[in-house]
Amino acid sequence: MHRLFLICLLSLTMLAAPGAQAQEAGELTAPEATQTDRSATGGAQTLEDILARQRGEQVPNRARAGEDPDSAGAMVGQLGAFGGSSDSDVWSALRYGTADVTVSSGGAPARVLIQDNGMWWLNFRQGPLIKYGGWLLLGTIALLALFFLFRGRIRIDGEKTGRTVTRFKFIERFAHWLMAGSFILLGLTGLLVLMGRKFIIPAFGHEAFATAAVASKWIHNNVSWAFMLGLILAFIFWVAHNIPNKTDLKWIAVGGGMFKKGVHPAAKKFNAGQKLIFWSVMILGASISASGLSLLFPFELPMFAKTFVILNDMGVPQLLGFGALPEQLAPHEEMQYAQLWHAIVSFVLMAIVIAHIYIGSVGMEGAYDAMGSGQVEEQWAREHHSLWLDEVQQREGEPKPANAATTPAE
Amino acid sequence: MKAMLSAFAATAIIAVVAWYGLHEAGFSAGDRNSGESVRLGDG
Repeated sequence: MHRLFLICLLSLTMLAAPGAQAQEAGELTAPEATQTDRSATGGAQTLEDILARQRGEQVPNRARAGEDPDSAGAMVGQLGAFGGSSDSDVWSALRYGTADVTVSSGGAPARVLIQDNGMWWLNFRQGPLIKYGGWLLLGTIALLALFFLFRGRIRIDGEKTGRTVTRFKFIERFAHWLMAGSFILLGLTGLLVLMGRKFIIPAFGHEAFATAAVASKWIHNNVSWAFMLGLILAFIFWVAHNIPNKTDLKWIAVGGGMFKKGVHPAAKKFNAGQKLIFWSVMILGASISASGLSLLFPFELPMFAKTFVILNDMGVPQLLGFGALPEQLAPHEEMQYAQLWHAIVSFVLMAIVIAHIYIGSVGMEGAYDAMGSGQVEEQWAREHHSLWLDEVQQREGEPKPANAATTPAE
Repeated sequence: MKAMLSAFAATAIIAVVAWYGLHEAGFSAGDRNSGESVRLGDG
């Protein structure tokens, strides 16, 4: 407690005596003040140390933490920098988490008064995250536009039969739209919260962004549960149909028939492309949900320090040419890593889902019906899911249509 | 189309229930970060 009092007092002293500080600083910037001569500060860090650190140079922490307080210089003036408990000692203790801070509420996170990873996180969030994430989404849309120009809409090649087949039941489509609708809402509100400062404020002003941000936060926090429920339902309904098999290799070998008219590789209920979408949504969606829960309940579900320990033990960061990941994280660092991971994985999944939306709507004739009414044109099923159609017709005891033999694996 | 609209309605209901439930469970930022010595107003 007495240290806390000391900190408050020191802060007031620093604010009250800027003139004296400036004078001291002027004396220390003289050419004779070298990096190793710390007699002026009683062994604690010097102004040169501080300037070197601000230039991004390595400064030994021992100097920053000061020498043994018992052998420090005599106290000069009230709580001056020459005393046994100098400013640098106190601030170093706060910075390195060794200060005995007590708080009346807020728990462990509130005891962290300085957390200098925060600036790295903020710069990354406002810089590369927005830049590369934004370009990923715009690049995906541009690629799809190019693909549309090159390939056009993938039409049903054969003659339509006028008969339909039930592709998805009501409950399956419900799960899909629960997941899809909530994902679009989460994506838009997430982008608005992330990019609003950079794009919305300059265009529409602070007040408009404040209203939009509050609404986005409410939607993002509460709609997330619908997404997680949809994710679980979709997993239960479709996991059995999404186990990879040999047919997928043949499908991939001809690019799924996406790039050439009249090519229709055989597929069961889901083709290799759809399986890729399914597993991307499941794995990335689960990861986004985990980091999202960590953000939804701040400081309650830390997961990065433990993950970093496991990754270090496996040698993953070393294999990729990085140093060991930090295994001791402040509560705030846990939240910062959770936010970055949440956003990065979401950008990747958004790019994948944009491609999925394209092929399920304008990109392919007849594809939307599968999730719209649940009934698909029999010829569409024959061209894109021939093995599945055979199974359905066998189950229902219907004879195969005359053109059945011509379509699989052309 | 019915499945889609039902899912969107369910999303809205789930969101309101989640908001109400978390509020009642004491998971608002105010609840989590206040103590007896912290006064957040009379409301």
